[in-house]
Amino acid sequence: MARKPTEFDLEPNWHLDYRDITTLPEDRVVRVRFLVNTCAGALVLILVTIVGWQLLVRRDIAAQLRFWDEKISLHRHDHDELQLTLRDYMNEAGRIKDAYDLIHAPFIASEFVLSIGRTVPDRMTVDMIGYADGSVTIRGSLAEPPERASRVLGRYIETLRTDPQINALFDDISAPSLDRSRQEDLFNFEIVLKPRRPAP
Amino acid sequence: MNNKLLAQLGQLAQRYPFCTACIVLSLLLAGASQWLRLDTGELETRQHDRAAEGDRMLKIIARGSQLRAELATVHAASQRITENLVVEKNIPENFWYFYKIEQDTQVKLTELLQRPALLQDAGATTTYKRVPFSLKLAGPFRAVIAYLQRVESGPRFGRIDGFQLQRQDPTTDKLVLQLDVELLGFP
Repeated sequence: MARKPTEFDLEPNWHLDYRDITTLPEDRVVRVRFLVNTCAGALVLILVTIVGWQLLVRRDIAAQLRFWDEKISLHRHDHDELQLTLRDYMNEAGRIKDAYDLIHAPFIASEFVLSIGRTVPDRMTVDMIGYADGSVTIRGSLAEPPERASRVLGRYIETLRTDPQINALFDDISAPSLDRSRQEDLFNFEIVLKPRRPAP
Repeated sequence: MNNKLLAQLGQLAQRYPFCTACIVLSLLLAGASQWLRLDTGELETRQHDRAAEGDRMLKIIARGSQLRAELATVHAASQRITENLVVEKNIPENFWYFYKIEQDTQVKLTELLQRPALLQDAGATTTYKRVPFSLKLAGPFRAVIAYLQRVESGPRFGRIDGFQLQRQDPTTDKLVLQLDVELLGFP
């Protein structure tokens, strides 16, 4: 292996050089052997550190795994029992929901009739309250002079729309007819209320 | 060529024995590190799964007493529904229910009719079915409202499918209530 001449090398042609340079030890201040060994040792040290860290992490994860395995096996019986309880609960709740779906009414009729009785104006008479085909119809008469009849009915419609109990149940309240009766100063009216659709 | 390379490597190994040992050790350590990385990843996945399972389990166990209490409530409600179901074919018993309310509320029940069960419930996979009735009753306002409230509040479960409340006679305070009601029954 050829070697670069150093300052310690003798001048050329002074005398014949019989030295076997390849077998002689290096004469540099920092030898290649030292550098190579240092790098190789550092590499090993780094790899040992990495593997050691990985082993620590692995031990930690294994400990956590053992912890959860113990917890799970300890509570398995209670958990299985509660799963059965939960299944029973779902069955019973399903039965109640079936019943509710079948007999759920959009409003309570008696409460609605009482609400109408509570809100009806003094000179208004309700002759009929009916509920069929998803809408409520109220028919009656109004003992008011012609110029006041429509205003009284309009105000009553507004009262129904703003009444918290009725407004919560019905979203479409209208008065499709107001006709003069055969009697003097008496008007027949009709009010239609449509229940709110349940939210999907 | 290969032999020459091997020979050179052999010479190098002889020349640098410590470095050679380090390189061999490094290769072994790199292999071990790679194996550990893969194994730790797998272990971590298992640990995550077990932790999630255990966490879920502990949450269910923590809610155990609440769940048992809710089950008792739901069971009682379901039992109350079952106890008050009507049997479609047991007409005298069904009519007795309405006559009993008539007696309690002092209205006059002038018509009572059990209609055939709804066709839409026949094919449905529900737990119950609706048994429809048509009623006509007369009485003062308070008595009629009391009757309506009793039909709505039970003990039998039902819903008002339609009604018509009107004056029997403009000169009296008597009202007539025509009522279509559906009671919850055994399928």
